[in-house]
Amino acid sequence: MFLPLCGDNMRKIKEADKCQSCPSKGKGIFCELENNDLDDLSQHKVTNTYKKGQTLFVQGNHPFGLYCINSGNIKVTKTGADGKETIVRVAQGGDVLGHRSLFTNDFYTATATALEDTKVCFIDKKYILKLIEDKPSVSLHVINKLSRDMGAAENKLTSLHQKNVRERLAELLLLLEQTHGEDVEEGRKLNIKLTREEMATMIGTANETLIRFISEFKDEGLIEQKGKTIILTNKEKLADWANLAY
Amino acid sequence: MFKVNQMVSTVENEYIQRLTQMGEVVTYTVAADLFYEGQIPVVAYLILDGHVHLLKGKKIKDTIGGGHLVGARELMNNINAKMSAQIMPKTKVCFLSKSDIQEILDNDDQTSEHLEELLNA
Repeated sequence: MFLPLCGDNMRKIKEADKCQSCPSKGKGIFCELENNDLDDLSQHKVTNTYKKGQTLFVQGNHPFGLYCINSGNIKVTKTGADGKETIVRVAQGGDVLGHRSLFTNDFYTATATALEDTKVCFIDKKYILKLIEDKPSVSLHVINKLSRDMGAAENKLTSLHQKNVRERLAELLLLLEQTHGEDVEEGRKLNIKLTREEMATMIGTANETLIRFISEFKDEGLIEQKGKTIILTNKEKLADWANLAY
Repeated sequence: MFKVNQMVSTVENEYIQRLTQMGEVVTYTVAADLFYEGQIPVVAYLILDGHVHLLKGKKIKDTIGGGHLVGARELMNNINAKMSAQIMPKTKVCFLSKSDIQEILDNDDQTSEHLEELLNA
């Protein structure tokens, strides 16, 4: 039987799907909400698991809400007029997607695709806009996300203009280490599965060039490869090669 | 309103008008996946014109046109969809979010009666 979203007869939500049980709790835009607000949010959201390759939304489509990543990685890509796909960023647990289109009311300017099995919550436009109006902490977290996104976009633009491919690759590996790094015996393992082609689009180079530089990095002892997994073995040297500005 | 299959209901003209006032109407220019089999649709879709394919695996099981509401029961009851839905180019659709449907249920007695029938079916 259909039950209302609020009141005594609230629909039962699986414990694992409640915001309070989110593995990314503390990293998202709702982390400062009180328990009863989180209960209300849990009732209004839709939680789904996207399999690898499934899209959350597609460039050019109409936005109708905000996606909040529970766990897993999602690539955000833009397709050019020539049909070439460029990875703009990789979003992970705690990140939100679709927020810019929500405020500008433009169509989605990028496509979001799951890189692995990914759990994502969807909150509709009407509810999230009301929440932003009512709860200043949510607004501040959204502003924080937007500012960080803008900072990252500026850095990427500078990097593409001022750095060579070797420096850009070193910088990308360090960025991925910050977001997806995990301690292992040999160094820091990148806990993300990206194809060489995907990595190449992230630094604006050809696949062949990327493969050549990865070999160079391995020969110089900066990284190790175990199957498709990359391990950073010398972060200091990598930072040096990335020519990072402080 | 009456049900065409588990996921689809036919909506009478007088209710179509009321529902479109609540949701957002968009015309798709290219084909797109609305939702995948095994997932809860993020909004309900009221087809106004054009076609939507319902697929099981990669096989088209049904094609629905204007006047059909798809995914509302799954959305409001948190039920996984039994089929995927793929919208065809030039299809006009009205999106109805959870908040939109809840607003209708709370404020529009006549439409809510019919919606509840569908959601409880």
